[in-house]
Amino acid sequence: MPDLSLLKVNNLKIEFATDRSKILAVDGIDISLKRGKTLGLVGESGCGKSVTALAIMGLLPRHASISGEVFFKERDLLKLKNKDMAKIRGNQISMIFQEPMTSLNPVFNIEYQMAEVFKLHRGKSGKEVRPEIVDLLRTVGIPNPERRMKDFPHQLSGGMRQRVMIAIAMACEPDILIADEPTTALDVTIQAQILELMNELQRVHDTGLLMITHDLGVIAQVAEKVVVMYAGHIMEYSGVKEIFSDPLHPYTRGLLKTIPRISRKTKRLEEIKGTVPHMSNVPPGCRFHDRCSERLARCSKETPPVSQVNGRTVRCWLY
Amino acid sequence: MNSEFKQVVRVYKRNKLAVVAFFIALILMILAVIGPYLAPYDPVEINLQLRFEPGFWEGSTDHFLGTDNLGRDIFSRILYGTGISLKVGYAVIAITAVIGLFIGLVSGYFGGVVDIVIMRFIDILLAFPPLLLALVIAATLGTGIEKAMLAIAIIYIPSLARIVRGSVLTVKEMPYVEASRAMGAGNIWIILGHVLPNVLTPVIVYLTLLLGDAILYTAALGFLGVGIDPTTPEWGAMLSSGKDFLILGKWWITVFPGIMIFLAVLSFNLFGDGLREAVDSKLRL
Amino acid sequence: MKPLITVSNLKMHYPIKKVDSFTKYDLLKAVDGISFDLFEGETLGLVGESGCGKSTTRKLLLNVEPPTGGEVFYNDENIFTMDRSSLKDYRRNVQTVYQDPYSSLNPKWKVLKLVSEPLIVHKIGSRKSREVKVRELLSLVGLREQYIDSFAHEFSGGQRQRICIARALALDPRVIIADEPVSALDVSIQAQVINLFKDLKERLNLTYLFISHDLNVVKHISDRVAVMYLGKIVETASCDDLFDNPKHPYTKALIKSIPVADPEEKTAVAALKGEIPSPIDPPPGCAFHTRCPEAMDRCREIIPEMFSISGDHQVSCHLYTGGNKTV
Repeated sequence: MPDLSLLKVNNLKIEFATDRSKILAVDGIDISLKRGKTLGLVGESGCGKSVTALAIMGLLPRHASISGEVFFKERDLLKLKNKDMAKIRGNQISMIFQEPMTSLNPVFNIEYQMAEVFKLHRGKSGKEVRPEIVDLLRTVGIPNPERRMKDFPHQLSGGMRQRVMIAIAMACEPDILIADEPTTALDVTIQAQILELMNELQRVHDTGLLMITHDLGVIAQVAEKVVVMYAGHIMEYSGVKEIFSDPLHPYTRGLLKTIPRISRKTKRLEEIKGTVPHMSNVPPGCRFHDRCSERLARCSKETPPVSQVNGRTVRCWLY
Repeated sequence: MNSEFKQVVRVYKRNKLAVVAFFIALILMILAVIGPYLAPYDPVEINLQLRFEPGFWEGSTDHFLGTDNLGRDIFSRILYGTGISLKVGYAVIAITAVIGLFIGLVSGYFGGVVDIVIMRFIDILLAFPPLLLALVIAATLGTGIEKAMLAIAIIYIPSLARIVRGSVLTVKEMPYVEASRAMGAGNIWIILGHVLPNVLTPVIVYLTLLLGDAILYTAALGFLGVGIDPTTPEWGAMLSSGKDFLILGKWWITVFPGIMIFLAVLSFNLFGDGLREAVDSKLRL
Repeated sequence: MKPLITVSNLKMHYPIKKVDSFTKYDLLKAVDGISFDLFEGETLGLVGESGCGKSTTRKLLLNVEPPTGGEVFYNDENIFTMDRSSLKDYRRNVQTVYQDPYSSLNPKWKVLKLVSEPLIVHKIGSRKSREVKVRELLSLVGLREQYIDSFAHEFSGGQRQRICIARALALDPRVIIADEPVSALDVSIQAQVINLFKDLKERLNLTYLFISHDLNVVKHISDRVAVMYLGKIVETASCDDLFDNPKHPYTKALIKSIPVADPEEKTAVAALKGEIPSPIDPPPGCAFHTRCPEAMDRCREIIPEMFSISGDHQVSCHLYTGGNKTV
């Protein structure tokens, strides 16, 4: 395939079987990520953004059934055996999570947990990796790395823990970094530091970054392309400038209007009526139709197809 | 509430063993009530002419499960014994629940010195091997089924109080408790309205698991002849009185009460396990 | 104008057991001498990062914990020493809405009891009249009356937050202390709840103390803003003044750190280095000097006083207090 994409997801569907019913958490999404670029994945709770990331990482629980294709360097990750996937995970594709406390093991110190990554993926161990660990910790901006690496996770602040997570994720210089709400649990001043750090590392290593967040501000600052997800569907997929200056989908438009901004003061915020649907109970037709302000008659009956408008992808009957 | 209950039932039903256990437990509970009416003989009536009569396996129809060393009908004694065992079980649960909840709530909610004193005392109680503790208490209190109940309850009160205290510590930090206090609610209102209902789930699960254990301890006390009068048709006491005659081949005096203890303890424990699993699944959702 | 609530030099120091000792305690200075006024009909935004003492301030104002020092005046009486009936009146008039709509509603109760709890506690009305009141409140916050018989877990986050608001309004209070009321909600739901707060304020003439870490939200809803850092208020000003013309280096950094939802405007920069110091052992002098880009020698030694710059714009920073003033 003469495609420059590092990661290409085709028609990914993820279904969870519960006792009573099946929940289609992600319903046929296509995304691609290029080397050195950042793809933003925005959406509200339950829209399927985190599940997508876990599917790419091969980290979904057994009762999830996945179909579609996830191409990474011309290999379909979904067809790989667990053993082969484990070699890619953490090595060529890494992930960082929202809450760094739960992703670090509380009973081991930082050095041990970082050494483990080197051991797993490069077969190096013990003292020989110590200088590398110190280097890495210094790169992610941890002061006194020689001393800090003897600390246990609970001795570090939230920002420091997220730096350690980034250090672990970047240890093997992965081709792709998936970040699931990496700064949501952090304070603004720390968030700005972490975003700057991620940006810097991405530039140096030419990493493809998949940034999952609900924060449109973060997306606007880091992403080149943006996917807007709603209830398991991609609603809109295009360049970040187009998304923010000329949003096509009424949902995207609504989202941009609802957020209060420092730069402009309005008397009253625009609202999107209704509530975020639960995936066990998605509305028929277009999934957004019951909250949409520009709804047409057919929106409640037929699911709109994905259409291309000026090279941009949108799923709406208006186009 | 209704849908929660349905969810619990649905998950419980998936565990087939627990379902069987539930029905055995149910039969035992029914037997405990109607058993005395079904019993063909007086369970304590001694008839020395009919000692060591074998039961149905030798074609006897008068004494279905045979008679013991004093000529008492084993079938009747077992039926009465079901009532005794379950009565002790329920009483133990009731005593444990009331005292354990009270101690746990007071200790967890008010904290401070009260909490420290209560918890250290509980640590001391927990340091004894439970059976030894029950034996000592039963021996001190003297003979009587009520005293046995109390002795067994004392084994469980410390653990329950601890469980309750732990949950109280979590619940009392919930914002809805702070909101209630901020609007001017008193301690009684907060404890009864907010804290108690929200610590009850683990308590109920613990108590269902306790029924089987309580029956076993009752049998143990009966077997050892402490606290329970050896003439009462109690399973453990029956087991004990029959054990000397095993060597003479009179196995039925021991085996049938043994089977009952086994069935009761196993079914109530499996029932409790299943319930805990089902309730946990509800908590996860 | 006379303030509705006056907070004066309020302090809350929690004793924390030292790790390496059984008997020694450290003091966690969660709130360390804050003073502010809350005027009738205004919305005062209280911003700051985690651990700055915002939530402790809430607890103290609700009088659920006795403070280490300082006073809070309501009707010229200190709420920590006032008699029972005055305190009852205070509690009636000061209500609260919390961040997490999941843990702020008792999961075992139905909406009717949840919303009418304040009425029951204050022994107001009969069972019948309370139910009527709850129905009114539900429609006031935009929920259907049929929900009266449902449990909290049957609702979405936004709806739960509406239930919390209904509960807070049950006693017709004058003040609502809202602690991060929208930060646990989805983006599209946040706007609904913020608008609800605004509408209610106009209809019921409420006064808000709006605690949040989200400057965008605070700017949108507040009339005045107070910025907290490590247990102290470092700057207060009218909302526009604070955002257009921030004085304290911390406020400046905070505003600069917000990622702006506009790709043409790459603004979010890491204006501050380092971490927030622990409130157990805060730095001497100005608590912010360890991260301040404009720190001077005196900042490391002398705690700056609150200084009025113009009108109601106050700042506690050595840059503006005499000496080497460099405005």
